[in-house]
Amino acid sequence: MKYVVKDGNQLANVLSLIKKADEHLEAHPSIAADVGTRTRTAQHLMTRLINALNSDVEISGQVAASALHGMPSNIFSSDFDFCYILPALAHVQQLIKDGAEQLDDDESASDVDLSDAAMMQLLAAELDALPLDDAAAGDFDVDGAEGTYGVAGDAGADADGPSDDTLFADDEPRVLRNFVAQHDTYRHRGEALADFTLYEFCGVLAVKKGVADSAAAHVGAGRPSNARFPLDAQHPQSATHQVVLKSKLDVPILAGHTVPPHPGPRRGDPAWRRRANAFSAYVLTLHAPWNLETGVPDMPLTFESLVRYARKLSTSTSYIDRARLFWIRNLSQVCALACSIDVLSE
Amino acid sequence: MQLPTLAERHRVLAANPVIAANVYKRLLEAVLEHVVGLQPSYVRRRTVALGDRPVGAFGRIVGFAVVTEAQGRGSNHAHATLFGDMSPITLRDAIDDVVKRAEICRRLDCIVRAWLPHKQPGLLSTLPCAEPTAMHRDGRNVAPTPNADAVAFEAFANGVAGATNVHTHSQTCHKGAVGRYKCRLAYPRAPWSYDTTLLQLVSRKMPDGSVRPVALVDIKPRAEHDEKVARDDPMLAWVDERVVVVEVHRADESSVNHTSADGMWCDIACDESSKVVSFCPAMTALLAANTDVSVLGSLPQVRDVFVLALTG
Repeated sequence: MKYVVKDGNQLANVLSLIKKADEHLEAHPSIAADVGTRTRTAQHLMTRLINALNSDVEISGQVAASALHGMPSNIFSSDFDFCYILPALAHVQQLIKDGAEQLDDDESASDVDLSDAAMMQLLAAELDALPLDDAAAGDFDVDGAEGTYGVAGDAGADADGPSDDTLFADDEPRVLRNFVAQHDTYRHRGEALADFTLYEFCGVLAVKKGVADSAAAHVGAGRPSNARFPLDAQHPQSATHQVVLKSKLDVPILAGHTVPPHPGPRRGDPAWRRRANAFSAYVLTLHAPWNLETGVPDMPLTFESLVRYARKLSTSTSYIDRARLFWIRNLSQVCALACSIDVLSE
Repeated sequence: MQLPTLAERHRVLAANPVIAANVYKRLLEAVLEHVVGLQPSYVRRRTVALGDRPVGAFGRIVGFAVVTEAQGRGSNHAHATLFGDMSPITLRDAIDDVVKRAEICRRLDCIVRAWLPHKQPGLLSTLPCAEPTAMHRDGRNVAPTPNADAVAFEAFANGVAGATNVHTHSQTCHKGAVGRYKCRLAYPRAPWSYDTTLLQLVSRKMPDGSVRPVALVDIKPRAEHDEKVARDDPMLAWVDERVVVVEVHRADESSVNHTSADGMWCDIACDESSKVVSFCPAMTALLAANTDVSVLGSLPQVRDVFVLALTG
């Protein structure tokens, strides 16, 4: 407590800063016209010291003017949007686990292929080992009964979705808002958008207020409005919101931990298998369309099925498939170098 | 109207930072729209389809990232990474095909240049000035239209580049760890008397574990190991241990005299082109200012430059 309330401007407390400022002056001497005079040296030292105390930096008049003009210091050709892949992956993991347990319990399910059941159980066990934050999925549950709904994607860059601050309205008394997770919106995206992957959904589509009417035609002057699609009836916002094609496509940013590395050339040992399945689950959740009924991708999240999926994309003539393969290769390539270094060091 | 002296113009500039910032903003947006061919996101209301984008001075641009920084004297300047239709992935896919390689190099020659005609004369503005002023410092001089008079345009671009794009060492060259013992911008650079070409960088692993570049050689076939990896796993199709370097033609009229008996060149100290900072003729003519344009030959280079630009 004493340290926290210490007066930062007491001479004894800033000796280290004075020494640092003096060293800086020696390393970067003044180039002013009156360099060497006592006034200039004192002014230089004090400026440096005040800047260090307040963690300030000197900026030029042009930079200040640019900032006041609202010019961004980083300019891009595209905007960016966050893709909350980790909650989505945890959601898929939970659904697969639930499916595997149901298969276990239901002894009368004679029509279920035993190999499928075994695969589901195996996969559920493997997914348990993934380095995921289990809380990521739980925070997004929506009861759908009452309250005001928002969209997790609008809430900020937190990997786990909206922070606690965003859960409350500014009005007094504080009203609990119910947020719809991004992956829930994607899962209930409706029949018309069934072929979209989660990654494409984040970059191309947005949820906005209004109800889509597919029969309504554009009338009047002006540019036709962007395509609108109704949400599935199971979506808690289906009565008030719709999915709209963005005018400016966004580049999705994968929020959260680093992408699991590509496991590298096939080795088959347990460590390789664990890494391979972690990578596969991540990539397939992101780049394979989810089944509208089951809410998970239409294939096991294993490395073998990922390779089969990639082969299918590589032989396809569709630009969309080739773009998906490009993104998957991008993820693999980014990780390949780290992976090879890792392998060399083992 | 007479152009004031350089000192007077500097005084006016220092006294009006808001106007300077405004000019910089409009200039940058104009360059992106008309030279690069793609407006920044914050001034557009919709995405322009790739097929509808014009072909600019750097080809058809897929995307870009620009970072604004302040110089030592306080003026703004920009660093940009452009992703064009000729990406490192295109280069990687084409490096095993001699014909494609030659086409890529011809295209690169249209975009970037690292040489100047020998003894480029300094051009002076012919408009009324308070003191003799270089042509590129007088904003009233407009570059000739290349379609109407290609020769005059070339002369203008080379004149500007000769005045602005010849490296001279300064304090900036000696910042950081590398700058302690050499120019960190790597000037003077080795000339290259041959046409622009793609070469492979050969490195050697040193006893202390570090990897040191050794030589540039003709591109070798892809390693059998990489071929097998790509066959087994379509996601690793880009895995390629070859590091490709774009060696841009860098020589002046005297350079041919330096070609040695083994078909290579050298003596960097004797060649003026060693100090030429590579530039895009179209952008140099339009901006009439110093620019540094480099081609990135591989994905790791792109990643490093991008991270460096965004993190400082």
